Amino acid sequence: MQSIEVRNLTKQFGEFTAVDRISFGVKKGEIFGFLGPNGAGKSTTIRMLCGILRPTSGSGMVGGFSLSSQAEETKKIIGYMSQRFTLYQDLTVEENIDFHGGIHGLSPSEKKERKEWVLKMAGLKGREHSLTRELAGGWKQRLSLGCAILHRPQILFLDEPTASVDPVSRRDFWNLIYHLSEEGTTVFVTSHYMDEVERCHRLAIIFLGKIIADGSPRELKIKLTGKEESTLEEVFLSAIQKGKTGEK
Amino acid sequence: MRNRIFPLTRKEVLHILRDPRSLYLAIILPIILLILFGYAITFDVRHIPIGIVDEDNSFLSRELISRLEGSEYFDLLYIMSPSTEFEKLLDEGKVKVLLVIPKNFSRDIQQEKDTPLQLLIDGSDNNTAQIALGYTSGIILDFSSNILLERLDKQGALLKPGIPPIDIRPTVWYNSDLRSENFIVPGLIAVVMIILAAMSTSLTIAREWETGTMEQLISTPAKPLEIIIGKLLPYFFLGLIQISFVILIGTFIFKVPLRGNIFYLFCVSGVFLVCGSGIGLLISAATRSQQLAFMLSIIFTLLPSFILSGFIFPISSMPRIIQLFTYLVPAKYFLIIIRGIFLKGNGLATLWPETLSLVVLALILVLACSRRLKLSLE
Repeated sequence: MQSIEVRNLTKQFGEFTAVDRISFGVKKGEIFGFLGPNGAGKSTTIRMLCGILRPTSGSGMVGGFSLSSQAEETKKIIGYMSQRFTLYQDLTVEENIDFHGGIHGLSPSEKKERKEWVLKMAGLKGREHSLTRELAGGWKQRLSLGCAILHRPQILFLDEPTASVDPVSRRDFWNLIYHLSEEGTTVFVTSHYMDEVERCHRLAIIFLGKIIADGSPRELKIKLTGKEESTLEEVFLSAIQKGKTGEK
Repeated sequence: MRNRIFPLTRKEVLHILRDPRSLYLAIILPIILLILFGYAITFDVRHIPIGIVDEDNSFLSRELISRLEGSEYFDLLYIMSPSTEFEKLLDEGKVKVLLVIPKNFSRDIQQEKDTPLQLLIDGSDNNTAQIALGYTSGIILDFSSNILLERLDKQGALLKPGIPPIDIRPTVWYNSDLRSENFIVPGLIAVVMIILAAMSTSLTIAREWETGTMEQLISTPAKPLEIIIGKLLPYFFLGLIQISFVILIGTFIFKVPLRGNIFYLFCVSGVFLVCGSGIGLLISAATRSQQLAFMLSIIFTLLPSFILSGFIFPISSMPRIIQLFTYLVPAKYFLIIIRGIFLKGNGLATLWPETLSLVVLALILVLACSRRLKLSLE
């Protein structure tokens, strides 16, 4: 079953085409990596899928709801973690969790249970009353993730989730993503860390608004460099090289 | 459907409580503004500095001088001999009014000739000049009619001395002492409230855009109208606290009589606060920049509330086109209502057209905010 399915999705900002007729599908429970250099259109794509930006043209279904006409329904079943830290810094850990629980309409008992779970997952037990701005990077990161999955979304969108996190936190973070995927959550993640996207089930490489390659990490290695043992970095660079010549 | 307004409101309350400085400011600022402006703005013209050049130096000229001196409207600063360059006093702004009593003033009156009196007035502030002219003319006219009556009396006229033919008996309603505080303070309450309401809300949406939290909020199922109402509510209650303080100051410090129903006053103030907060939120949603929103919210509330509301300048004397603009100024309606409640003891029965207009404006503003916020998500 497809969780996400897009056809010729396009976003233009004035004359500039940020995302140019991309098409792909993501299966339920899959971890789908969206790889590309800065400015390639990763965040714009993720924002369209979350219903934050309206596509200029093209169509898409997220969790069975149409992007163009049922964005409000989509918002109920997704979780979104933006590239920027978007929790309220002047609120405490607990107040941020309560706010997200409230806005997603969790019942009081669900709220209590999920709050416990998030505090444990993020290692923030005992720090419920700390102001969010006083937390260190890794903790902020896990709290953000916790708030994004508080309402058990069917599909989770993560925009460069580990950009400012140390390697240990990053490993913990990915363990959690795997766990969510095993439970059936679809995860759509953008990144430009090669070691990170290596762990994805499937990858798409986006460059200048276009998808220039997609497949499993192994398939991509064979397809683009001809060797299974090459690194993803080599795959990425070779894809971009091909993308550039394709432009000309 | 589950209620999403409550968590939004709760969050907004937490923001306000986490920043105690702005909370104190919200309580103290209206008090300071009202006291400061309440004493500063007055339309009463008193203690006008006057200079007199007495070239006659007679019993009659001194009689006239003592009448001017005795009036509370004038401060007699200089009595000069004719030789001085008395015009300089006017040039240097030391006096606003200069009266020149010519030589032969007394003789001409006694000989029943046409008696000129020169009056020089500093017209650079035309309002004060006009009032000063009125006061001076009044005193001189009174003096003149006394002379006339004495003359008639001497000739054995049929008139009883001291009684003019027409006797005006004025009664001023609603503000019998013509105290300008009674007029100014209710108007100031309106201006102070709308500025503060717009200023405090103008930051809220823009701040969420600047910190990026708006993006997160848009990705949740919260609807624009829920976000607007969630943000409006805490500032609405804060505004009601502010208005309680300013009403107390108006009645106890400035002694403005509160003759109408205080519950009605609070209800209408609430609607007026929604207008103010609505303007702030609309600007905030449109600009997405805290600094710009803050400045624009002051410009869009302060100037119209002072100039186009009838607070200082009567709307009836404005050009027709400008008058049309005043229909969009919430303070215009609120001023009529608040002055009506305070001074005339009016209720909804008399003030319903203004009250209805204010409610309609408030609804339009809230819907416009919600619409503006919706558009910007796309």
